[in-house]
Amino acid sequence: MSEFWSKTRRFFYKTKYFWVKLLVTLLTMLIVAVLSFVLIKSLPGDVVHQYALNLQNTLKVPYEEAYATAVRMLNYDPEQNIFSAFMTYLGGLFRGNLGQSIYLEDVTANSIIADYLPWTLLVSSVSLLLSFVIGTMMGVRMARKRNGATDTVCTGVITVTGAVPDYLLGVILLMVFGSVLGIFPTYGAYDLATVGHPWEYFVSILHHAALPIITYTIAQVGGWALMAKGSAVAVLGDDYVNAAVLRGLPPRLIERRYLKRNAMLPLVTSLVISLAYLFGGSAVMESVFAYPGIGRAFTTYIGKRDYFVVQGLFLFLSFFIILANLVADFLCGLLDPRVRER
Amino acid sequence: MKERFVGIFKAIGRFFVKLGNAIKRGVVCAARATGRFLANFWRSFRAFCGMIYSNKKAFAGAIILILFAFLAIFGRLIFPYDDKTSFADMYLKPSGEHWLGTDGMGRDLFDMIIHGTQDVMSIAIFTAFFTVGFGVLMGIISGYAGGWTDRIIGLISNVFMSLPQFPILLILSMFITIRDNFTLALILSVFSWPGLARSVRSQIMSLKERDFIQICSVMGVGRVHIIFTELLPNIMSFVAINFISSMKNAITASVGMMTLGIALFEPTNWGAIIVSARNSGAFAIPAARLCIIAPVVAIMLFQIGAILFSNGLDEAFNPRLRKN
Amino acid sequence: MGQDFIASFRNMTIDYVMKKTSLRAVNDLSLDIHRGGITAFVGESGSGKTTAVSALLQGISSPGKIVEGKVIYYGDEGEVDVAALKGEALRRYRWEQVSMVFQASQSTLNPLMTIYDQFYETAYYHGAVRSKEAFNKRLEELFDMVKLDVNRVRKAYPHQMSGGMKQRVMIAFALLLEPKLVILDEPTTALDVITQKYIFNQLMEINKRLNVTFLLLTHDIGIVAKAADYVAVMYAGSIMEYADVYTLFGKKLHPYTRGLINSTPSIIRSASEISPIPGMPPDIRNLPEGCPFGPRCPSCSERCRAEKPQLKEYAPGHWIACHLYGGEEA
Repeated sequence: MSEFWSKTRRFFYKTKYFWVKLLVTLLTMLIVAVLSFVLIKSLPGDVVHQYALNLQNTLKVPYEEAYATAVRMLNYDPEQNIFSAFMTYLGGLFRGNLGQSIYLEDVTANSIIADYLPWTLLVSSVSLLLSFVIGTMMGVRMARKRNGATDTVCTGVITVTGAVPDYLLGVILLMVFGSVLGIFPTYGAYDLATVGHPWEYFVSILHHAALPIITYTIAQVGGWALMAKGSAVAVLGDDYVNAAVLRGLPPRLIERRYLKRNAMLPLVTSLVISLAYLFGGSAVMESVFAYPGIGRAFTTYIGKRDYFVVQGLFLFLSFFIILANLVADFLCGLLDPRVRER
Repeated sequence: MKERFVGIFKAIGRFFVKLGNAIKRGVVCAARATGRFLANFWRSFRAFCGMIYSNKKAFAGAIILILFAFLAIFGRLIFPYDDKTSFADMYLKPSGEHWLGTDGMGRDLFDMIIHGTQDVMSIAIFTAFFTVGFGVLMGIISGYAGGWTDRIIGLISNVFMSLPQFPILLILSMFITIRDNFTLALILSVFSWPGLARSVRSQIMSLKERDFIQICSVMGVGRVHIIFTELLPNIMSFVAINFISSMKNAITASVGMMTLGIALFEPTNWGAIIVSARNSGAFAIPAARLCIIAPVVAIMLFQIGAILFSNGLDEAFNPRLRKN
Repeated sequence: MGQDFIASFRNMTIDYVMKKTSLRAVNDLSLDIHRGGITAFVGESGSGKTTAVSALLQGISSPGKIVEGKVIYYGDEGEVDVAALKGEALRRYRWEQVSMVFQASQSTLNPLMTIYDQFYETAYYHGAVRSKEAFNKRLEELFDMVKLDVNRVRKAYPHQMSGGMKQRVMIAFALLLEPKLVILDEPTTALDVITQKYIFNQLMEINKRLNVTFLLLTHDIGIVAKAADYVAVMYAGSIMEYADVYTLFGKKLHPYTRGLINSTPSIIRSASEISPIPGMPPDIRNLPEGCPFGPRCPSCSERCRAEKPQLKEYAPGHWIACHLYGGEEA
């Protein structure tokens, strides 16, 4: 028995890094939930009452029953004290109910995510992949031949693309390729006429997504390139790479196991985190392209002052980012033995 | 009885004399510290200017930034802006009278952009000021104090960093009406300080371990004194870099908010020019495209200046990046 | 030649070529290195000893280049022109014939791999792994040699070890493939005195037992006197004096050698006898016209200022570059 305990203790001590991270993550999530709850709490109290009255009319049920349904759908009961109200709220979240629209009965935060997220994911994951691959290749090449022509040209291009905010780049591209040249559509995610024809539908989706993807890619490529360059330069300057060369290891092995692995390490973390930010989409970008992504939905419901939906979406996005941070930390710990023992 | 009164008076007198002495000592001390801080500051400022002059990138960036600052301050005097609208002059082509043509309401585009410089710059500078002030303060506190203070500030900044920034700005806009640049700047900076605080903290941590700071604390020099005269000048270049880059980010974010229509704005703000041109269908009218291109170029130019300046500074002060 | 010597430098000149200027790090260096002994290169930092010796591994850090002369290694299959080696031949030559304990040993291990993996990888790519068991046995033997606990070290990552341990790991690493020549570049600078002494005793023992040639680079005269068989004194990229350790320390002929020895504290000498060499270490960007040591030399003459002395054999096995001992002819 005592051996079991000491083993367990050793296990926990060895994996201390992970547990600490996990704890911090849960704490952060709790804080975000509290913030979100505060948002609801600061609403005028009769929102639930109004909603219950609506329900009473549409469902033809007594007020008490309507009120109970309202509380269940909105995750919030203004008549409870603050603590039990919070518990009600958390309970609702655990049931997977992120929030109900107060204006439309069949719209919830969940349904909005299901409707809009795929479009955001399509555009942002493709562009993230493209920009990451192109950017890191550029960065490593720049690091290899520092102060060469490639480096100078790339740095110039990156400075200019980095200087234009992504959505303004979108505006310019939209103007040139959408309005002036008419190559790409200027709004929407697909052509309504193509629904029902799988092939045309597919092409139409790609056609509509092309301009946002190009914009995102151009906007992000510079950042990845600079990050990859910095990381690769640091690794190239490290003694162990040179030592590996003098140890007579094959060049390809050094490239793979010493250069790339060590240089990619800091980038993996960033990649995971930007993947999470993708879920949020870019509200401005999507509004520029009139693209039906999650960011645009967010803006729309903010405009409608549909508080319960807004807080649900907010919670979803935050949780994703927080979880991605955790995953990034774990990955970092798995890949880098130095981090684990901090 | 009388003696007692005299005694009390004497005690009170002594107290005031002591207080006076203490204050005098404090003032002298503070004056000395300020003097030394200013001297240090002036010395590092001059070294800073020398660095900028010797680095091509930083120099080019500095010139662009100074140009914008100049336009922001004196632009309105040199190119007076006339906000009279006349639809007869709508979307005129560039000419001697209207250097960049006119916008959808017949106003001179060039004058609008010059006029808007002040608005854009003030948002950027306010935001950068708040961000850097708060970030540096938090960074210094948590780096210098360590322990639980450090941990709590770390957790707070962790929370702020893992919140999606734009959605929060949107949510805040439901509750707070952004009426002036000051509020806008305050809101923008709320979410940009944690990153800076983190890096200042690590800078302070590593500075703390350096010999000269150790010697200072061994010699019994006060904490505040160490912070002001030794630590701050040492992270000045770092702070300058961050000031410039948060200006850059503030412009990106503020124009973005205008695009979404969350923040109120002056009609001459560059973002506002773009938004109103877009909303009035400038895409379709060839002559109106300048109304979008011109402010974008203005923003781009400023951002390039900011990037060059901060990269140049980074290169000049960070020996690892220096080209051999 | 190959019997007595293991490697030779022939009129080797190394320049650091930059955009505008070039620095002469090593100037016309010629030397034969005795097989089996410990040859020490002594000199202040910046005297070019690391640059000169790393030519043996074709490891001169860029932008350094051999602009003149040759480095020759006498292997089992005859002479090898090291600078001309390429590709697979170079790869196999490195570490199998010549290995090195680097100056900054602390950071020459990959931080993301365990010690075992790094050793295994190197052995594997040099075809030195016959079986896992044999390799493990070899590892045990090596770590035993440097007095490290194999079970503690093999699974460790570099950051989990102390400086002294890493240094010993690096020594074991250098011996892994049983090379003929091992370069020890300041192998003990990062260590405390006790560990230093300990490691040197081990190194000397290994040298005698395995018949490996050691090239010891250091600025520590005490270590040289204790460990080395032959000593080459370097100054500003040139060899000033070369002899076996007894001759060199016994005669103290060259003014720079004398200066070096006299500036080292010792137990048997009183502190007042320590005299530092006057002047500043040389700036290789602008060396004087004649003898590089001239400006700091107590017996510098008109001739020294005008003409650079060549390295000449003053007595059998005792080479010296100084006008004081060069005979009459120029």
